Formats: sequence, C-alpha cells, structure tokens
Amino acid sequence: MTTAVEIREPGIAAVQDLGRIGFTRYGVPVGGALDQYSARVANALVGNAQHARLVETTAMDFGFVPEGDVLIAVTGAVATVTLDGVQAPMWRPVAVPAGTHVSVSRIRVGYRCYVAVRGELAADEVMGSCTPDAGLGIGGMLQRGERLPLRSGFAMFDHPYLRHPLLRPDVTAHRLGSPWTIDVTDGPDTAAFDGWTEAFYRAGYTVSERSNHVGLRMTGDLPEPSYDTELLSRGVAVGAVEVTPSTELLVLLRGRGVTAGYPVVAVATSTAQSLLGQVRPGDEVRFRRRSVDEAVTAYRAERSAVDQLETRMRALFQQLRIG
Amino acid sequence: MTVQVDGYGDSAVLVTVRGGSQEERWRSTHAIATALRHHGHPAVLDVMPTYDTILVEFDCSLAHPADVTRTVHAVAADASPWAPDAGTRRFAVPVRYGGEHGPDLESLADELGLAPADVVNLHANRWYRIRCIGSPAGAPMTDGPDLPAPVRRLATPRVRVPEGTVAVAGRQANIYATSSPGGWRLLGRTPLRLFDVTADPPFPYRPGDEIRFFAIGDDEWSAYAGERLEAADDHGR
Repeated sequence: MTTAVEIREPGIAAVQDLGRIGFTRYGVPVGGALDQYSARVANALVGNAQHARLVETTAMDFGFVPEGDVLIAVTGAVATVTLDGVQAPMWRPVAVPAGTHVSVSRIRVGYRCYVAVRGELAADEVMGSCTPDAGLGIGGMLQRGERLPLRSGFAMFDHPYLRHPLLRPDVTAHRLGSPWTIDVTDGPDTAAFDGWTEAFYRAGYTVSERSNHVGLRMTGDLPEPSYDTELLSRGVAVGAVEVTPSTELLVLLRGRGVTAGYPVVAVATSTAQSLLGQVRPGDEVRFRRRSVDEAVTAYRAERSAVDQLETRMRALFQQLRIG
Repeated sequence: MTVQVDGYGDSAVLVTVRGGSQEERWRSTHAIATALRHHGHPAVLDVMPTYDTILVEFDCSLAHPADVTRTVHAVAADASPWAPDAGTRRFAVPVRYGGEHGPDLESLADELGLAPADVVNLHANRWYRIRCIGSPAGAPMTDGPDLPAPVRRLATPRVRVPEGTVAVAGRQANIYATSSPGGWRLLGRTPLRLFDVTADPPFPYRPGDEIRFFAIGDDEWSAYAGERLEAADDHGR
C-alpha cells in the first residue's frame, strides 16, 4: 500500500540512511545519519531493516501529518514528541492514525532526532544511498508541504499487549549532554604529540559555531606536534581528531572530505561517533583514551544489542500480524 | 620496500609503503590497494590509496583490526606489480586562468616572487600523472607544478569552490571535480564537466592516467562549457 507523509514544519530535516558505503576511493564521503546508533534503533523499533531510510531532524522543531495510518519511532536527542498535542514516548514504537499531526520539538539535550516510519520512504538514490550530498547534487532539506511517499503494509491496530509494560522494548538511549566524554583511541600521528597527551586528555574543548556535518571545530588547549604539520593528502577516517594550523581541533564527522593533510592526534571510537552526532555548538567535550580492544568490544556490544532488538521486534510484529 | 600497517581507530588501518623511490612507493601502493580490493575481505568497506598510503576501512563488528592487519600484510606480500602504462589514458583540460575563475593566481604569484603568467606557464603544458582520486568527489590528485616553494593553503577555507576549479596546495595539484568547501589556492577553472553522478564510474580518469592543462580565453569558454572531459586521442588534444 502506498501512502504519504506531508511535511508541515520542515525544521532542518532530510531523508537519510546509514550512508554511501564503499566510495571513498572516488572521493565520495560516506554521509548517512550522524548518530548511527539512534538511527539503527529507530528503524529496529518499527521492524524496518536497520539501514532503512528515515528522517533526521536537527535542532529545530519538526512536524508532519501522515495521510494513512503509520507506525513510527522517534529516537536521538531529548525532545518533546506529540500526536495532535498529546505527548508520546520516544524510544518506543508508536501507532499514529491517519491525519494526526506529529511534532518533534524542543530538542534540548543532544542535537538530532530520528523519525523512523515502518515501511519504505521514497527517495532518489545515488551509489546505493539516499544520503544528501551537495557536491553530488543529491538529496536535500525537506520543504514545507512536501509529500514523502511511503510504501507500507501497516494498518491501525490497538492491541493490549503493546500497552503492557512487560512488552516495552528494552532499549537504552545513550547518555547525552554536555560536558560530553568522547572515547578515542590513539591515531596515526599520536606519537608526534608526545608530551602533549596528558594535557589533551585533561582539557575541556568548546565546540565552535562553525561546526557542521563535515566536522566539529573545537577550541581549547591545542596540542602541538613535534614536526611540520602539513602532510601529503592521505585518507582520513570518520572520527579523526585533526590538529589544524588554525587555533582549532577538527573532529571529522560523516560528511568529511576523504583526504586531508593535517596530523591526527586521536580517533573517536565507533560508539563515540554516534555521540558526536549529538554534540551542539557551545557544548564542552572531553576526550577519554581507550585501547583498540576496548573500543571494538564496546562497538560489538552496541551492535549486538540493536540486532537483538531488531529480531525481537520483527518477531513481535509477526506474532501480532502487524503488516 | 616495506609495508607498515598502523592502527587508525577501531575501524581502520593505515598502510604506509616505505623505501624505494617515490615512484616505486606510489606504484606499490596502488598494486596493494588493487590486490586488497580484489581480495574482497567481507569486513572491508573501502580501500583508499593516495600517494604512498592506503586507508583501509572495515566494520569492526565483523573483523578485529588485528585480523585486517594480518590480511593486509598477506595480500601485500603477494600483490602483483601495478603497471598503469599499459592503457594509460591522457586528458587535455582547457583552463581559463586567473580573474574570477582563478582568484588566487595573483596572490600566489606574488608570494612566490613570480609574474602570474610564469605561474600559468609552470602549471600548463606538461603532463601530470594522476596519483590518486581524492576529495572532493572525483578530484584527480597529482604532483604539483615546479614552483619555487610549496604552496600554502588558505588559513580559512572558502565555503564554496565551484566545480571545475583547478588548484594547488603544498607540492600537489588537483581539480575540484565537484563543488565543495576548500582551502587550496585557485588558479583557474575548466568549462568541461568532470563528474557525472549517473555514470559508472562517475569520472573518466583513474590513478595512473595523465592530465595536461592548456590556457583558453574568455571567448573560448562557451565552446567547451558543459562538454564532458574525455580521453585525448593520440595527438594529445
């Protein structure tokens, strides 16, 4: 069945997925939801594949009206979710009757929310992904009045089991809020900052207004490398903490250019990268050193928890015959 | 030559080729990157070779960095030599130098103690080997022209560099195949289209191919505008 979602308050929102993977050798950044954990959980909660398209909304109030009955889940930053003005929970699947005004507003701890809708949202794709990329000319911000087609088998229901507390999905929102503790491992140039590492881990860094999906710029006690700071362009990973010649650290996010020549003093862990997607300008960030083993273990635990949630939710929807 | 593999967070390793000449390291880098892609490790998401390094990105929920490191060493030891000369393609790129299309030409010439025309003559009319594809999307990165000193990047990058802009930084050169923010120094711009998101691959050149720039006047711009960049015939035009 095809229905649609009409955008009423566009905020700063776009249709996203987990990214355009496998094209860094074409110079194409991976993009995708900046808080991957919240995006995966939102999709799992409505029984979608974790990489399904969903809406990412940043900072501003966002509102829409589904033309048909839909099942949604809102995750990410702490916000107020209402259905026709009545508060609804986050981090849970929520049934929304056709014509209801859904609002995600007052994002206040963290920066971005994710709205997953059971089914498939329509969007153009390039290189296997709908993630917006201005350089490629794909995707863009949602506009007031825009209708997003949705293919969905969902029909409205009201089942006592879904209201029973025992069957509330067991899912953890990650810990949000400034000051942020961002786990990092050593980077390829950490040794060049010998003598500065203690200060780097003690310092608080302030996130600048000039931050965006490409990277977070931060001011604070800047480490100084012991060698010339401009290297030949080489691949840089998402999460790299670069020391630039200006007075800022640059922590790369998923919109980052794939090559750069600045030294990398540390690399945010995969779990920390989801947190970085929630950091706001003006927030304070501290870095915490982790070993690679600790980082891998933490990420595997996180992915495993979401996989289990996905499995449980799909089984539940199947048992309850929810389309 | 030796292959060094360093950790780069929980989901990437950085491969550095050491020893030999710069040319040998570059060829070895691309040989290893090609071999890694063909090897097709199920956890590896991307293999990004540049001048003498390769960034290998993977899903660490599927493979531990130590496993990937072992794979890289094994593949590198067995990699066939890479010979781009067989089937090297050559591209001639018309450039309108200076003015609004090359806003840094004069300031750069000034810094280097040269006339703008000297900088143009050093940049144009010689073949550059494409060392890798970098950012923004589809940028053919080459060694830079023979300037008297490395080119300083802008302290504050421009918010938007138009696609087709020809640029230099450090001892490197590239073309902004797609528009993006950028801190390189801008010498001019080509009216040709380099990047087509609907094509596969989206740009016509590969590492190992060669590019040559030639100057055009304003009156010649529209003749090239919107045309795709294509490999030159044997006469190099």
